[in-house]
Amino acid sequence: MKKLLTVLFVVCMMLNLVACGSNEKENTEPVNPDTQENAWVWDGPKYDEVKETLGAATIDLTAADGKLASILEKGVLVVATSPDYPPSEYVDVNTGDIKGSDMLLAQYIANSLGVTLQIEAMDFSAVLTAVSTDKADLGISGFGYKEDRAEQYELSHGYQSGTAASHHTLMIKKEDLDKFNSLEDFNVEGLKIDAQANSLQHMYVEDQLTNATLTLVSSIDQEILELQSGKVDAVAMDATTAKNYAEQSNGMFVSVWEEKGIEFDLTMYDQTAGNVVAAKKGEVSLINAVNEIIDQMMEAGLYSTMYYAACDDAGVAPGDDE
Amino acid sequence: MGPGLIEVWMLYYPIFLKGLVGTLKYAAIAVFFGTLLGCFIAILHLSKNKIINAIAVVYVNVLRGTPLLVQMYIAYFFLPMAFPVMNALSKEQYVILSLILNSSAYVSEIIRGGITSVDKGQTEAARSLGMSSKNCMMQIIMPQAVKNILPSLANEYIAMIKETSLAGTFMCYELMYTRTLLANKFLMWQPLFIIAGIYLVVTLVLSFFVKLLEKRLAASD
Repeated sequence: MKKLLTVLFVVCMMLNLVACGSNEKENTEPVNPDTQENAWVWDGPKYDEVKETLGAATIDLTAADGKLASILEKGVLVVATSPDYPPSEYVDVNTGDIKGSDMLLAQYIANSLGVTLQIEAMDFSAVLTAVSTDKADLGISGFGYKEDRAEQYELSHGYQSGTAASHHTLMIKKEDLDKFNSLEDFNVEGLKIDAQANSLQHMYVEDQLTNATLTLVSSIDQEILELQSGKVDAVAMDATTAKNYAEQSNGMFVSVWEEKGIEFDLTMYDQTAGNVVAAKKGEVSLINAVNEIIDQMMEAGLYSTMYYAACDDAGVAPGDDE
Repeated sequence: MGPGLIEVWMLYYPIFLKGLVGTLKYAAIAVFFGTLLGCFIAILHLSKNKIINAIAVVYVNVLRGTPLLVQMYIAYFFLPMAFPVMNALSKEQYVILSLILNSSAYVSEIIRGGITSVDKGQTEAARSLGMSSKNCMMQIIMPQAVKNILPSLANEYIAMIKETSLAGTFMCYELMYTRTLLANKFLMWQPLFIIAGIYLVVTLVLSFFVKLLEKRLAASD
């Protein structure tokens, strides 16, 4: 009997969810960034236009050896990515194309090497495996600089747009906002925190919130589901991502960076600012070429355009507009 | 909470349908080629030669005793290391390859089970009537075995429809992958329930047809 009641309860709940959704229709627009009014407007060139007019860096490839030489010979650059992280990398729902600011960077690198770009999409934790097993030449998936990562892979110079990113924070339910006033408030026995496996935030939680219970998930949307269902108290992510999810949640979630300026302490890490490109350990010639390309791109201020155009295309607001 | 299930379905149903087509396609390819390969493995398994038999036993046990997801990862990352020729295959082809290999192990057991389930007396009777071993197999054993095999094979297809959801891990376009696609639109829970609903409808409908098939095959008993 008890079981039957439970089943009935669950069914009612589900119907309720459906009903809620359709009733809300009149007051709230569906979460469809194509039609949603965004406070942030990008009047620069659109994504496709940026992609078409990327150009190329001028680099000296005469001394190419190792993997770089084989890339040039094959005429194909294979880049692995995990497209679940807009605006850095995501899948265009309508065309199935993999887009994002990281993919524009990949295109720029391919242009500079004079080869065609081939993007391989996979799970986040599989991206680096793909790089080390030669399935992909480069891994570009919003990677940050981590010491243990640098021991296993060749990491490029950092790239980032303007003042964006670089803040890493936690997202919580709005009703819990009063409980947290500093990062230490998260460092509590029994508090459950989600982070994406192998991500920077994974390391931050492990290092800085040692008392809290860390749960690892494979993609960011799983974090959101866990937060929503109350399985965890907070989810760790970078400030831009947290801001976008908080905005899309109709006031259900808040980013503690936006609300209270709480962020992870990055001064304890000797790290390159921004994101990095990963190549297989020992491919010095390849990573040097990538570094040179990234340096030229940053100097020309090209990356900001890529980033904003990708934000615009993905329908998310950049993190640096306050 | 975001928009409700119906709204999300209305907005994005072409994406779900495309995912469903991908799922059915992967499952069909896996079971078709898995059956061809599975027949071959079953023959090896039934062989009286101990070495050939052992090869088949190891093959079936390894593929049935390890998770498909692990097999996919190993196939994708490490097969090309062992056989550089395989670098020519695309990611989708590796996923299909591991689905086929996995399916072949299960199908070979279905076929072997179907053949061995035919009473031994049938063989003895046929042989004592002077039929050759080959004739006995084709005329007496197989027609009876097929009746056992076909429904199980159809069930394997239904099971495969669910197994293919792992292809989404490698971003192959099937039903589970639509979740990744729509997560980029900040839709979190709705796609999961829609996907579950589609899987349920498809497997229930197919199960119904398998029941009909079973009835039809049982008619001659």
